[in-house]
Amino acid sequence: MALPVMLAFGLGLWPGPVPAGDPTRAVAERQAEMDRMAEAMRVLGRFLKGEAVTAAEIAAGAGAIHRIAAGLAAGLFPEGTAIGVGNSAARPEIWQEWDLFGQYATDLRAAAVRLAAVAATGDVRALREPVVAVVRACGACHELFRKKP
Amino acid sequence: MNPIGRFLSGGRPPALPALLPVLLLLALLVPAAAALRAQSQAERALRGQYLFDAAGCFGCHTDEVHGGQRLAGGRALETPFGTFYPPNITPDPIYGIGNWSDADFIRALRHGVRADGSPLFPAFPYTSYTLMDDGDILDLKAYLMAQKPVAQPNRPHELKDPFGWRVLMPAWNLMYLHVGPLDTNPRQSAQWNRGQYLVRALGHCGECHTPRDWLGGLDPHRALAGIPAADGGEAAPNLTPDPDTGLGRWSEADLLLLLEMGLKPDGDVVGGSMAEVVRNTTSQLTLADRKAIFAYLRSLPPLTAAGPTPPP
Ligand code: HEC
Ligand code: HEC
Ligand code: HEC
Repeated sequence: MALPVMLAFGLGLWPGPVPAGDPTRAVAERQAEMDRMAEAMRVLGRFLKGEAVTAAEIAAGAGAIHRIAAGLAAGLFPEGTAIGVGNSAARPEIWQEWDLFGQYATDLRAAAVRLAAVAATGDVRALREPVVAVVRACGACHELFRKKP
Repeated sequence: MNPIGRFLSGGRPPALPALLPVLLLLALLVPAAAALRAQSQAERALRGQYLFDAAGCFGCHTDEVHGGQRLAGGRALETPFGTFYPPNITPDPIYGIGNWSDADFIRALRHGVRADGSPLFPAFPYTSYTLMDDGDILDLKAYLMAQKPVAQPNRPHELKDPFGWRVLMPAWNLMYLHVGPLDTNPRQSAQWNRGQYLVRALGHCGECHTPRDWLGGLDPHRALAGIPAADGGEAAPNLTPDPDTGLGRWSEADLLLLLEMGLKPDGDVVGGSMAEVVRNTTSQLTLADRKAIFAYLRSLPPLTAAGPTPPP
């Protein structure tokens, strides 16, 4: 299942939602992936606050976000994993407005691609704007589709 | 004595030729005064725009998600008391607030009373806006009056009894409304006072970060101490400087980053209504104002989130 989904996503298509095999586990796995993105964001946040961060650390963080963002569609949000399942904070609107949700996932991926590209040049001063774009992409999706349970 | 003086003192009315220079002067002055007024309204509107952002009027009064027209009426606000539909606040004279006088507008924000005299519900956070000063309220009005009027009727709220009974509001106000404006605290710095104004009056942070009792009144002993998830409604974290459950370990840079773009020190990005607050409000503030918010929050007595209510 995952491969065709990833292929479709790679082509810029947003596939339909898949049913969850084990919903509680799917929630835990997705939250772990989100937490990995947050870990990468922490480094970028330190950069935004003007703390000492190396270009290599930034590139690693950008790479991690890029990889996870590209995988967002690949089964991270199967059907039947909304609020109420485990400690899910995923609002049911995700599946009612699946295409809109897909747009936010695609936006994050585009922002992450740009960030990774700028990070790869090693030009730290050019990084602020693409980092901010990634943060905004995270926040825009959370605003509509994530609720604290 | 000049002809006008004689006229005023009850003498014979002066002949028209004698009045001519005065009329001429008036003819010059009246448009000049009107122009001056227009200019000062434009200046007011400009200042009002910043206040409009800082006070977050847009989000509630615009149904953004459904592509609703700007300020023509809001999206559904779900509360434990039922669903509110914020009204049209465009300058449309029939469906909006185009016919409201300055006094009407001040009264709505200061006392929670509509132009027709009926009480407003505190789902409109006048309990915070009451702390604004008159000058700021009029600047805000000038800005609203300069927006595009939209002829769109209001949608009635869907409230549970007795929360939908407006007649009960004066009693509620007696219990919970502390009429402003906010006093300056002379023992604190200008930055601190600005921060207090941004947090308590404009930003109405307490409307979401302070727990409410069963009648919807804010608990003054738990100001900004956060709302636990179990309370129903949306949970919100503790903003007091408690090191374990609040912002005690946050640096100034941490809070500035959160207010600018929603990024938390742990790498998470805020969601829900705070994402909207960041987008529409705190990211629009000047750096000096964001720093003032930090200075004020840092000075609060630390409260433990969801702990027992401390004695007054
Ligand atoms: C396309 C929508 C979307 C985007 C983009 C997105 N998220 Fe999320 N995020 C969610 C949803 C929905 C949840 C709730 C998931 C759950 O509880 O099952 C969530 C949850 C989280 C969590 C909490 C995980 C946990 O342990 O409960 C973190 C941390 C997080 N996201 C970080 C990020 C970061 C950082 C970014 C940007 C780099 C990001 N997210 C981008 C939708 C998104
Ligand atoms: C949290 C959401 C919220 C915010 C923020 C908010 N309002 Fe409202 N507002 C409401 C609701 C709900 C009502 C209707 C209350 C009622 O019916 O009693 C309302 C009513 C009003 C009214 C009365 C209009 C009428 O026709 O009765 C005015 C004027 C108004 N708001 C102006 C503002 C201004 C100016 C701001 C920003 C300073 C603002 N509002 C911010 C929710 C909000
Ligand atoms: C409309 C409701 C609302 C208003 C108004 C509001 N907040 Fe929030 N705030 C929230 C919610 C909900 C969260 C939790 C969001 C999340 O973690 O995804 C939050 C989170 C925060 C956080 C993150 C704290 C932490 O420990 O994670 C800070 C800081 C904050 N708000 C400050 C403010 C300030 C300052 C104001 C006033 C200018 C304000 N908020 C106004 C609802 C609100």
